[in-house]
This record gives sequence, structure tokens and C-alpha cells, in this order.
Amino acid sequence: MNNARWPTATLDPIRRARVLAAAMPGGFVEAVLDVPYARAWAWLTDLEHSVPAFDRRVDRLRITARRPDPDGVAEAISFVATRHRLPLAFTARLEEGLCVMRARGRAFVVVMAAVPEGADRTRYAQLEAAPLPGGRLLQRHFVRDVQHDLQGIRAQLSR
Amino acid sequence: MAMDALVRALTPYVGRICGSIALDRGDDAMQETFIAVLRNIRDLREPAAVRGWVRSIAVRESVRQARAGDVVAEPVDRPAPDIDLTDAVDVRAALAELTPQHRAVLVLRDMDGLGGAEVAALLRIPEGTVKSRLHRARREFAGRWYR
Repeated sequence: MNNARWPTATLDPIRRARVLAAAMPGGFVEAVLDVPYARAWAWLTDLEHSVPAFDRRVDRLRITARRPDPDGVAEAISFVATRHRLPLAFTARLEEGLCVMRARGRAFVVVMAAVPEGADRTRYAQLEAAPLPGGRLLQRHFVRDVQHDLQGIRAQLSR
Repeated sequence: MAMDALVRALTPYVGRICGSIALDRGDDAMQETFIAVLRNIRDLREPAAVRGWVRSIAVRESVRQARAGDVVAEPVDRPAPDIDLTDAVDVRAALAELTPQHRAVLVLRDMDGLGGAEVAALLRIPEGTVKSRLHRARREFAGRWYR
């Protein structure tokens, strides 16, 4: 019986984002985008171009290193996001449908997640949070940010 | 990120528990399990006990989701069905004949290898009930796995 193929549940990228959102105070949005998953995810994960285009707080993003993650299913990326000439270094773990980005010092986390919603649409979720004591004080700020980002993503993908 | 790494590390184990007990609602049960785990991880006094702690949450959420989804009928006393258990679809079909509570006993005993007393403590039921539920659950499966 131990070798039987037991039915196995899965946690897709959107659910993983929901789980992280429930554990960390911050802003979370989930929406359906009217573009196919492949196009949406390819654009979103072209971080150097997509993030400055949809995030009003980022003027520039430069990838400094990328390498396969040891687990074989993800890529580890280092990048610097600049806002008002202030650079903030991030490390990211990118896998199919999920990108978890963490600022150096762990004070700021951004998660982007996506899964296909039928053939022509994409379910997208984004989390921004400060997983620190007192992080809840910034929640309103994060909620506004992720909503604004979502508008930016919709606008960019509709072009 | 530590939280995401924890989720990834526990996903295969939690996935089997939730999938086998909650069946169609397994993904929901898994999501709720990890939400409960991450929200309460700071209260875990013994890091070495994380597997058992997560197991108890996964079983509870799976039974709750399965009951909420009304996935299964009440047990009916009848002969074991003649099914081919080499295929996961058939395992699932056999599990679907059981109540969530029976599935929980079967999963904990036969998939996870817990003893009867451990299962009784985890599910907060008498050990005799564990035995009767296990007997009933195993009868739903073809005998060759138990030879």
C-alpha cells in the first residue's frame, strides 16, 4: 500500500501566492488578464523591461546575475531596482508561473504568480509585503501599490 | 525566501495527505493547510516536530474541506469492489467510496505508517474506532496490496 499511487493535491503558483499573502502583511491582488498565459508570463518575467513599465516606483531595473537554482526547476536572479537614483538590490527565484523577489535585508518581498485561465486568458496575482514586525503599518501603502501595478500591467499587455 | 522554501519542501508530503483525503478538494485543503502552517509556525516549540504538526493540520483541513464539499456518501456495508489498484484513478475511486474520516485513518496508517494509538491521538477518537474504520477502509481495496 505504501507504494500505491495515492491521489496527490497540487499547489499551483496562484495558490502559493495566496498562501504567502496570508502569512505576510501587505498588498495582494488577483485578477484575470485578457491575454494568453504564455504572452503574459513572458512579458512579466522580462523584468528589466516590464517592471519599470508598470511600477511607478521603479525607474530602472538591471539584472546583475542569473543562474539555475540547485533544485533544477528555477532560476536564481540578482537585480538592482533604482528609484530616484536610490538602488535597491534584490534576489529572485523564478520558476514557471512564480517569481519571488526579496530585497536585500529581507525587508521587502514581491511575488508575481500566473496560471493559464483557459486558452486565452491568464490568472495573475501579485503580493507586496514587508515581512517584519510592524509591517502591517505599511499595508495600506502596499495595497495601493499593487492595485496601481495591476492597472499598469493591464495597460501594457493591451498594447 | 524561507516561507516559500518551507512550502516547497513540504509540498509532496502535504499533497499526498490532502489529495488522498480531500480528493476533489485536495488543492483547496492544501492551500488552507499551508496558510495555517505559515500563520502559526512561530508557535511551534519543537522544530523537529514540524512534520507531525503539519500532518495534523493537513488531516484536519482535508477532512473539513471534504465534508464541506460533500465529496462522499456515507459508508455502505458491502463486499469489496473488484477493481484494479495498479492505477491511480482506481485508488482514487476506491477512496471516494469512503467518508473523509475513513480516508484519514487509511492515509495515516497505510500511507504515513502511523500506529493505531498515534492515529487515535491525532484524530481524537478511540483506538477501537481507528481499528473499525481501518477495517472498513481496507475492505474497499483489493486484497493483493495486503497479502
